[in-house]
Amino acid sequence: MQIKPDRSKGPAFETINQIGFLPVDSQSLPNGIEVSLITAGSQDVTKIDWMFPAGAVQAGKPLLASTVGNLLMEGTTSRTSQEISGMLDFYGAYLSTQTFYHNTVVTLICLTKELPDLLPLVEDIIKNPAFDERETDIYINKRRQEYILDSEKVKTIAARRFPEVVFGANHPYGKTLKLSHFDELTRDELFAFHKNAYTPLGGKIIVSGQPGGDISNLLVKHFGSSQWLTGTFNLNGVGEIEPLEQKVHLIEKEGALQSALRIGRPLFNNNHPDFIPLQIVNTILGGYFGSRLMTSVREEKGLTYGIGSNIVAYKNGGMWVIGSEVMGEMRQAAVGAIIDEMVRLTKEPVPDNELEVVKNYMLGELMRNFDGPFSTADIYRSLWEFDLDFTFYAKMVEEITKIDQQRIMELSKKYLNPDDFYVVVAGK
Amino acid sequence: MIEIYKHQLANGLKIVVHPDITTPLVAVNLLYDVGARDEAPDKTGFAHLFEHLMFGGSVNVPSYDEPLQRVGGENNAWTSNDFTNYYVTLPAANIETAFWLESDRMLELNFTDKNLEVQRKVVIEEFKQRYLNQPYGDIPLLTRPMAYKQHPYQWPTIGKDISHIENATMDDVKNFFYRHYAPNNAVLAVSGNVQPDRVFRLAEKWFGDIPRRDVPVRNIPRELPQQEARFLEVERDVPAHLLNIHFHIGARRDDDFYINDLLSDILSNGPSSRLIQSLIKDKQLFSDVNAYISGDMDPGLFTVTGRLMPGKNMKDAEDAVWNELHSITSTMVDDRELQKVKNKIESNLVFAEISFLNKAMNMAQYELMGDAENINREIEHYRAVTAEQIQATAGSVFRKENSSTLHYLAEKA
Repeated sequence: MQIKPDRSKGPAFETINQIGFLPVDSQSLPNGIEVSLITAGSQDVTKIDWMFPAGAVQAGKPLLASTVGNLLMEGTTSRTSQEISGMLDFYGAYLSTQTFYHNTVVTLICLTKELPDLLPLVEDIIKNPAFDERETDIYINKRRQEYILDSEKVKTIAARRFPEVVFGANHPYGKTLKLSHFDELTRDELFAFHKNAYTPLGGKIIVSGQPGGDISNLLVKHFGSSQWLTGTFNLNGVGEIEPLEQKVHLIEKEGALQSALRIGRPLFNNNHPDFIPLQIVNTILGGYFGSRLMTSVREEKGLTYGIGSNIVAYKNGGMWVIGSEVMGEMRQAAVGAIIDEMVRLTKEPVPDNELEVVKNYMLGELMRNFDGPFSTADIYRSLWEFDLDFTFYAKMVEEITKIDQQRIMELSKKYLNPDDFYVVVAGK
Repeated sequence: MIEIYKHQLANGLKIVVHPDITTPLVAVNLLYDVGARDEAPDKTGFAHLFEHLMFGGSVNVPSYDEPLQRVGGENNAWTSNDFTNYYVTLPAANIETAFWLESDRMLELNFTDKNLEVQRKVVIEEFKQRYLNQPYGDIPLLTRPMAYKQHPYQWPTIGKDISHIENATMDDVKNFFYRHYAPNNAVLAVSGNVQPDRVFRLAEKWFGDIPRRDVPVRNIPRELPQQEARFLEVERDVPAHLLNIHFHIGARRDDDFYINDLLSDILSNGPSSRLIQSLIKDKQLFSDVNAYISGDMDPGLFTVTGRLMPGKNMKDAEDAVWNELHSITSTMVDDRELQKVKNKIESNLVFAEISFLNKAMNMAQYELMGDAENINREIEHYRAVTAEQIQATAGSVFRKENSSTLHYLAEKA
């Protein structure tokens, strides 16, 4: 029997009212390193993150922290770079490092059965890097070429300039990498930074997936020893931000067909009570495909392929930034359209229908973000930096559910005043 | 190992389902058997422009995105030379909304001049953003017509030229829809927290009354065997020279696919691979190098490409690449190296089974290629490849007469 569907209206649906967070088990290794375990998933695969207070802020010098992180894999006192990569590839494993402002994360993803063979390698990499001169040169030269290539892209030009404008060029969050920095690193600095920062003091391990019953013993064996000396890193303060006086910055790029825009302002981080409700305002403005900026600048005016808005949180501050690449000759119109949408949020209440869509979309997005052990571990890691846990997101579910038009307009008036915003344009 | 359930509707729509109860979500993936290779040479970029138009509302639903976002869903799409793929993820309890939206836009689009006009502009901006306003962005526009003289793979999915998009008419658009968007030209794949029976019932309810359509039989010109080395040199305002070499290989379903895939892995997959060790680390000729296969449904390409370090000359760089290609042709790979690339394939196949969306996308493609169950047999094909086969295939692929070489020179260097 054929059931004729009613195509004029959608099927009934359920609203999400809570997110199921995977449980986190915590334990400490004998030397004090805290380990968090998120056990879940249908595959026998494990991801391990080692976090060290080895970020750009602690390094205090551009390029130093990420170079130390990336060179860990390019040779130890007993293994060459080629031996390391040969072994990782043979086991079908991935080892990478990412450097942020306040930490560097070493991440291993592998089949669980390979852990007993791979963890001794990771231990060696983390504890005994050689910073071989030739490997260091190859790495720096390669990075320099990538930097020069990226410098040709209007998007990168605008993205590099923006933090300098909102935080000030001397602030750690505003300090941007310059070509000259590639000639200023010494091997002594690499060794010294490694010795101080890659230690149990301030370190943390997050294990996710199905790591098997022996994981605790393996971690104690390779990373739990009290012989592993603690370093003396300092949590370099970041100081006050010094935004520039000038609000509009134009960087000419000869021959560009599009202009890259960055429009935004300095802001607080996720410890501020307005941070969560502002995420809702941000989503309405430019945080999803149906957002006002996408609707106006892409779908109605056809000025861009894409536009988005983000609130970025750092340990000691944050920023709100709208980004897009638009038709070169229409950039004035695009900037105008963006400001119009900001102002409209301060003047007109958000229609019920739109608010319902945004709320449900955000709840669905949270469910997607918390799907599976690996993405849950990523969220756990970023919360840890702010001394927060999953209750932050339980609170977000609550706030999304209860926010109303009036609160959105109040927040918009407070934080979306165009006079507080900076405009960076790169292009022709 | 992915557990797969299949069903086909009377109108020809194929359905494949994989239940995965570890997620509260579900992915609904609709793959249409149409891509840039189905375009006429004077109307290129259409399959991709069409992908954009599919979000402009359908006959009974004025907006595609909004009702989906209202139930917590998210979606996107992509177009390749062979396929156009649409996918949705949403809370499993709201799965029916995806069936409503996808079936309505398969039934009939809401064709409006306004939507066409705006999406034309958006696609032109995408053309600029990805191909013209990006260092090295125009490479596919240069190399594809060199490698293909007869076959429509000679243009990229964005199209040969912006003017084809600018000149697209409403008639062109409607014509394209009724020729290619049909239940008998698509696979619906669902993966996530749902039972197969429920999916089959929902498919019957929402897609069952969409009429089968006359999908033209594909009549794509075959690419004739290349007889001579091809070469092109251009100068651009970029920071470094770049070398790009295309070689013709077989199609996705040919036996040499697995051999070529492993061959490309030996050359450049992972930091221990040959090109990276030799050209980046030992000789320091390149800052970046890559070898990969296209995996196209019709006979495709094996590409070797890289950017040169400053001060290095193209001749030396090119010689060094050929040296590596000849070395794999003249000497058999040893057991450990072959085992290494097979191990990596094996672990990657396991990693690929982590994401429910990934599983839905893969099932749809394998079903369109013949049988979704083949996903689970993939590893056997790789395991069966021998060192002799790698050597023989390398010998037949890496020949000058089978190559199209681009020297993309930096004006300033």
